[in-house]
Amino acid sequence: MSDSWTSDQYPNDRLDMHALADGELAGEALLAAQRKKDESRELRAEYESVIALKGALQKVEPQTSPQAWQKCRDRLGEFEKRSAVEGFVGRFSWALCTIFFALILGAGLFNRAFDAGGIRTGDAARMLSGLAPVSQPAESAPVEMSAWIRPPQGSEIRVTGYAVGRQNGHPVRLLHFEDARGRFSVLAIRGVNRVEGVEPMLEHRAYSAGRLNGTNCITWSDEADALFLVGERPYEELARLADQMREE
Amino acid sequence: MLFGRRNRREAFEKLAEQVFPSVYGTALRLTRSREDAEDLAQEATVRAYDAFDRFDGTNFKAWMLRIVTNLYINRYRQKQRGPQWASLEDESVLEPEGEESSIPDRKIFDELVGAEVEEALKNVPDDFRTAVILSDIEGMSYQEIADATEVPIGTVRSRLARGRALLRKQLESFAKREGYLKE
Repeated sequence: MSDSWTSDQYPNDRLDMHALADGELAGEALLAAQRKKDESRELRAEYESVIALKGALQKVEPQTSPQAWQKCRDRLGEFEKRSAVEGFVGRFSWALCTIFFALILGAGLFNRAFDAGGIRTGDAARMLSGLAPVSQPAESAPVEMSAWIRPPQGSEIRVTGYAVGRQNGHPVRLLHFEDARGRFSVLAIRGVNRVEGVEPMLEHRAYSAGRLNGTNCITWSDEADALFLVGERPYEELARLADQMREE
Repeated sequence: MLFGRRNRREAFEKLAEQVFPSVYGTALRLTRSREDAEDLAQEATVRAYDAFDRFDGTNFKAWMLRIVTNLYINRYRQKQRGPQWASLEDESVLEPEGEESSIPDRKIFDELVGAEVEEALKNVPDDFRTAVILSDIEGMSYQEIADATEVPIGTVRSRLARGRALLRKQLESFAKREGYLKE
């Protein structure tokens, strides 16, 4: 083959010199490329140029970085932990959901079964404000309600209204009173013997004090009922009032 | 290749540590930024570990470099700055290397040190630089480069030839500037 090349074969022959230098040729192609290189000064120069350049590129320093490798290991650790968690959650998601649901349901049932005798002041407050008054004259309050709690005889206390109902499974009765000092109410919740969210009164051991709907209240238990005396007056006064009403 | 769950990480780390200089070096030469290179190497390592069960067990280094290159092309290169000389890929613009200069390349390149070659390599556009790095520094075959860059072998051949021509010019200019070569 001569040194004069046609334009269409020149690039391929040059590329063959690169392939030859890269060790990418075999068999007939290898022999042909070697023959071309031997016969053409230009192709030989091309080949030698590639070899020299490859030699120069071998001078670059290997990039070693223990810190970079350590960061990769740390990332691998994070990835493995995340995969483990995701894998577990993904595989057992239904089981986990079922367990959590069962736990919530179980806790609710347990609470209902074994804590039926207790009530929180928040629940009592909702009962107090949630009971609609009966649209009857106060004097028409059922006899049993009058008997249930009665103003002391000769006092100026009078019944101004009443309400009955059932909340959270408990029969609830509510009487509104009025005296010279203002209004007050008595809430009785049947089947409750323990009230949470109130503190025992030091001077009046029979009562506990707290607040319902932002108003002072005292509470005590009376046979099957938990009673709340609620009014805008000091605890001491509420306790004295309750004493009078209970004595009757 | 299948490994026991307990030994999987250990087996992977053993192989990955051996080829890490190549992984990190390639990442550094591709991104030209230490920060990006660390990030790329980490992400490639995690991806490789995730896909370790699918590694065919033949050439771990080529497999890792394929992941690095692929990740770089698909994610990192988009945020790299600088002109992309896509038109230079046209084989018609290839210029003969050997006959341009009467000075043998060996004379030019013998004087150069690795850092100077690295510096010159940075100025070669992405696609050509990638081919040169994978072939001449990491010793990958044309087929492996084609797999890593997802282009036909013919394109790898032309990118390599063009990349080398551009690098040679860079090195020649550098040699003249530094006085290794007279104008």
